Amino acid sequence: MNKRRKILFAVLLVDLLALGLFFGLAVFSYSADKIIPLYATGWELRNAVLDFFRWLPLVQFLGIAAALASADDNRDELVRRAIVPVCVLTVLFAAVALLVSPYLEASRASMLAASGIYNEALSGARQNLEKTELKAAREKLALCMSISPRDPRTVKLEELLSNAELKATRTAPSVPQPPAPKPKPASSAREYYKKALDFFDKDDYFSAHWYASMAARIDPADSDAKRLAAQAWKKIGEPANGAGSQEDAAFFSSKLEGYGLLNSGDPIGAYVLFKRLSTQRPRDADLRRYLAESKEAVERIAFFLDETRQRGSLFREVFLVLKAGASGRGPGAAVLAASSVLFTREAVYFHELEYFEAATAGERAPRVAFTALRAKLAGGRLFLICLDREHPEKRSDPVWKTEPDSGIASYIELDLESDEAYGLIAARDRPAALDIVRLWKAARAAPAYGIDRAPLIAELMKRSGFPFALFGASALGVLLGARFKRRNQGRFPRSLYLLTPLVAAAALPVFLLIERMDFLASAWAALLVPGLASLGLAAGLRAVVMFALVLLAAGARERSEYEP
Amino acid sequence: MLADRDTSCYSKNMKAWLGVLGRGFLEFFIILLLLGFSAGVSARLDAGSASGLALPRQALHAAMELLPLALAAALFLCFFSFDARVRSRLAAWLGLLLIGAVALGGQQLLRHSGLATSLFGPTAAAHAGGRLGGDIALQPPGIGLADKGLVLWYESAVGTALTNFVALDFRAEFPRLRHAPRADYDKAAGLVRAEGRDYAMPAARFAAPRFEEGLPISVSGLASLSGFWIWQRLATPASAPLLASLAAAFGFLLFICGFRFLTRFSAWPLANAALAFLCLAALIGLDALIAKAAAGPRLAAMALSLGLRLSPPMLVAALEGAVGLVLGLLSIIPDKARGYR
Repeated sequence: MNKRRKILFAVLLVDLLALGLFFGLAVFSYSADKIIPLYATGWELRNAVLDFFRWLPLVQFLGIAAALASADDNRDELVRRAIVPVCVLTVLFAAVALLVSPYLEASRASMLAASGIYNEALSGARQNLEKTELKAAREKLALCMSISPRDPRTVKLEELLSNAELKATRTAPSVPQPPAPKPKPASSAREYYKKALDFFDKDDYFSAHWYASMAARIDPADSDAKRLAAQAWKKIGEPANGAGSQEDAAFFSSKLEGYGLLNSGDPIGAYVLFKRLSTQRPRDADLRRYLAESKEAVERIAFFLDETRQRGSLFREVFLVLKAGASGRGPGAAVLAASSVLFTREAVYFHELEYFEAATAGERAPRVAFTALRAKLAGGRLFLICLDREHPEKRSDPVWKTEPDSGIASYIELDLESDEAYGLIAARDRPAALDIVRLWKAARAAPAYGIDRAPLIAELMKRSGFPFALFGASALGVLLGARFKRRNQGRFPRSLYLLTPLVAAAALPVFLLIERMDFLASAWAALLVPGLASLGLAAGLRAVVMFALVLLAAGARERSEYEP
Repeated sequence: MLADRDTSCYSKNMKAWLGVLGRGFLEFFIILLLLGFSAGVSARLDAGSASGLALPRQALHAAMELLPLALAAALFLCFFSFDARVRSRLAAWLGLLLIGAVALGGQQLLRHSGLATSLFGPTAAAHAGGRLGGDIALQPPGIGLADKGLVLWYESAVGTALTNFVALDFRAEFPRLRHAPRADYDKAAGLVRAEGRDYAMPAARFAAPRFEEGLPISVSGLASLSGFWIWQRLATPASAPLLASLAAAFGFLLFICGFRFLTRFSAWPLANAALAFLCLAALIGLDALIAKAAAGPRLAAMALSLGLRLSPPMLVAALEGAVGLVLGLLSIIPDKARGYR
């Protein structure tokens, strides 16, 4: 076989063995308490590959040194033959590692975060169930189901909780009805009355009855509206009008009420009503249309709970400072904090969100401040009302501490795109999960968003140092392999390969020492030259250290005239 | 003709020997500089200062202290160089001893002459133990720093008066964010006082680890050998007897050189080099253990029973020197018997 290929295959074999070893270690170290079974295989694979990249310089060194030290050529020829395959491998591995690592880090961190939330929620739900705090238990179980619905622990807890809830409902007091909507001004009552008259003239008694009822509700003193509503109801009751039963009339009336709510700017109320009606008559064409319209209208001002159960990148303990003026309501900074944040393709979902906009000089209280159990960021808006799609009467609303000047709303405008939010939150939480371009941008923009730049610069140093480390380790492997090869002792006995673990054991502390030196040099460079310019200084230091190590590894020239 | 060939052979041997000697010194200096630079940078980071002027002095001071370690590593590399280029084992031994003598002898002479202290003496920062001055630094404005789940942030500061201070403790129940339009910073205690509560400043921002942090020498068992490491024993003050210091140094040198047989342990030089490196680490530890034992009563009593009235440092030197010499002779004699030079 071509000797270059021989070296290449030997190195790749060592790499494969190392990857297998790391996978084995990942499987061995897996614990369901840390990572839920749903993510087990993915977690192990990602861990194995990331560990492989982490230790790649050492593995490369070992493979190259062992391959060259067991070759038969003389030293100079060996070094010449090894250069090309070593360079090719270095470039390939460095490129793959730098491109792939951030994505693997991101998904691994997300798995860890989701598993952490799941385990905490499961434990909390069990405790709540023991204390018969069923509502709290249900909320926590919902969180578990959004992450891993088929986990046996989730299924079992669901059974227990359902039984407990069933028992509780038998003795539960009746739930108070939500308050009636606020009446509209008198001018609206007149408008409704006029519409009612129009519909009555056109023999549309259902519509007439509804509008007249609305007018009477708005203006109880309007006796005309009451009279008209009664007349329309009487007409509905006449068989000649094809009204059918009173039940049909009640249904139709509710339908119209919903339509009215929709038109009057209460899409959530309309959706609640239409959803309830759809369980009675799911095939009603009008109902289906209005339900869809109200759902669309709801989505413009709120969002649904099941959206928060999508797969995406999950972050925990998020703290973000938005640049001054991002809210558009004033020059002060805005602070946003959440216990967890989920990034999906369409939107960003916050859990336990706290938000305030700092007061400017001279003011004491924040300009805007609220908390929201759930929130959604999409299209420059932060939606604060969350509904259960199937039971929309179950909703979470924000708690306002300081209302904006424009008054309470179901959403606030926020100049923050999903992509930008992802970059900022990842920059603080897991810089290793950002690709090099985003990392660079984040390092430049960090201070404006309240993010400490030092870890980002350290990550950039580490990333930029990886190709150095890989090439350096490969070069040292070539030099040391050539320096410590057998001399004129015949064919290399394969039994000597059994000593390779000894070489690995010796190389490991040296690798750690050199890695530590590199880390110290980078940290010192960052301290000496603050900002991104420190990368240049660190690169210079690395080059000097690499030169020294190459000189050390190269050794003296081989004797040729003293061979026995 | 025979005479010419002998002269030519002799001059080539001499050239090879000098070449390896020069190479040995170069490797020694490279290792020394790398160790010194790393330890120096670690000390500067610990002091929280990156002043470029203090680093060379700190690095040189560290290099002086860590010289025996660098020498041992360089000698182990030289074993293989001599083995590869110089046939005569005796000449190789002489070369190794010469390198060691120059390095260690030079170190002790510099120390005892007082030059080491005046040129490379430690700076105040090296012993500051972390913070310079008494106050704990306030974190920068506009940057949220987290420590064990507690995030602290403030918008701006005028002296110790902070504006728009935020404390967010993720360990607490929701809602957990606390905001104070005004807060005060207590420099001495490192506490922010806001609306009746105190918050401690987070730990040092992105603290870089010390050089030895996390490495095996920080393991508690090995930490018990503190004070007995060779570089600590040889870091004697100028007032200590020169003879004792030189004896300790040369005893260590002979001990290290005695393990030259490792270059021929197996038929694979790379594995021999790996084994040599591992043995180097073990020997450094063994040396410290011997020094610790010598400071105790047992070894001293054993030496007395053999009629040796020696102080602990001399006892260690004698023991190590004897072991090194015996091992060296054991590796030379069989080769002579087989006809090698």
